[in-house]
Amino acid sequence: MVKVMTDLLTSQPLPDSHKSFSGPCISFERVGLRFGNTTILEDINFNVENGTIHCLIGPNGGGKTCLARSLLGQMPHTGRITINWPAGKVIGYVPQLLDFDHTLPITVDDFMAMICQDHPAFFGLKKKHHDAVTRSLAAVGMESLRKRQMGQLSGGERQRVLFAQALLPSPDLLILDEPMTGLDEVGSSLFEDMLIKLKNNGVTIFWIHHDLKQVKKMADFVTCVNRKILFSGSPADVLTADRILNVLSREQAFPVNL
Amino acid sequence: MRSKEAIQIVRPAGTRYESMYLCLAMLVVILVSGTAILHRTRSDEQKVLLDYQMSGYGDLNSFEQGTFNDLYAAALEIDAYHDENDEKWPSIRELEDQFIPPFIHDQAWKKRGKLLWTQKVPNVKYTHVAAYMGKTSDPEVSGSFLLVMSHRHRAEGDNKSEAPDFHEDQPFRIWYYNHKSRLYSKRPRHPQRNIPFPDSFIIQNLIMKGWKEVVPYKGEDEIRRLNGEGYD
Repeated sequence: MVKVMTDLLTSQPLPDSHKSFSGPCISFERVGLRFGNTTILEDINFNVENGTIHCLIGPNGGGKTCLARSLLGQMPHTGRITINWPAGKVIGYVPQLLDFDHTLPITVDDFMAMICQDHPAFFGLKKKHHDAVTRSLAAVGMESLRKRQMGQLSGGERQRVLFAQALLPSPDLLILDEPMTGLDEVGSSLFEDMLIKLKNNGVTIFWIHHDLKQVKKMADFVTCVNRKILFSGSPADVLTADRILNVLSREQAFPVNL
Repeated sequence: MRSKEAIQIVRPAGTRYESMYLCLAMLVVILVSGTAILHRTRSDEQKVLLDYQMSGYGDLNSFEQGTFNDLYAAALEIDAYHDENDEKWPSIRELEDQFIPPFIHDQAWKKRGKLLWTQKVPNVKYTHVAAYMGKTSDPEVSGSFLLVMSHRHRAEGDNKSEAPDFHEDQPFRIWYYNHKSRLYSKRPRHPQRNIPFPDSFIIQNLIMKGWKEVVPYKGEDEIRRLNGEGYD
């Protein structure tokens, strides 16, 4: 059932004593992942502190998405992933992209109904979820487009809807897989604001991201993964020009926006 | 209080548990169905030939088998006719007109010993009993046949006297008489070359007159015959 969304996004940050109880901390110990003979990840060891923004960076095909999906329990990983939940256990997940038939006659409201209610979406969104859906769509600036068909949305708008669904019910852990792809400047800053608000409310945010500038600005911790962990720590310490050059010289496909 | 605090170990996605549950489900299905089958199985009732009976496969020659099979099929037709025509029995003439073997005089009829058919409906009161006798013209080729039709009308209570003897569970019985006496060597009674139409069709009477009931053995018995195991 949907836990009615508290005014996560509009309220003031909770006091510090309460804050530490919200988001979980996560530890990855010797996590590995193989598909047949291909090693996707090996010996991944790091911790995600609760109530922080932890960014995961790395080249394409480096295993970032696989690591996020291992955290969701959707991959046959080895090793141990432990989530220490202080309070609720709600995970919000924003996938890299939503793959669906664009001619599918489904509106934004229908999509949100599918996310938050058990009974079929074609019966319409239940009244009791209406307010929560309105709030989360308003938070991403999509309230006016709620009757629009999903197939008619632009990439950025669809990305916002995906973000809105991750806020229902209000998450304790938010896993983002490059949600900024296709977002314009306005959307991007809107996301930033929301993430900061969520973090201030104690939500742990695990964020796969490419934009190193934004990572440096927003993240509390950053981990660079390319099959193994290349480096991990606070952005100020680990995102040095030397290191990035190092990564670049080894991995041609590493995008840098510094 | 931090009672809600919980440490969750993320379990890797895999097919290990699904496979295990599937195997368990399969096992349950096999066990349940196996038990059900074991409990519900009854061994097929073995057909035992009584002293006055003979096998439609083993004891008849090929001509007689042909006649027997035709007569068996015709008996079903006659039974149906009886049902559809106010419980009247078809005459030999009617059967011939409808080209129903073995009554019709065709090539097969000639080869099979030219059985001459006559009909008897023993008692007008008991319209549910009729007999058709095919007397052989050539005892070297074929014996004689007797088809006794009987219709169940027990509920009507009109068959109390002799009906139960041949009614039981069959709408008809087929009897056979071997003029060469091969089958009756143990019996003191000499076979008659020219047999009369029996007067009564109760089983005992027919037995006494030297008739044998032909039992249509099939399937399993035929396999046994082909394997050369013979009959009991």
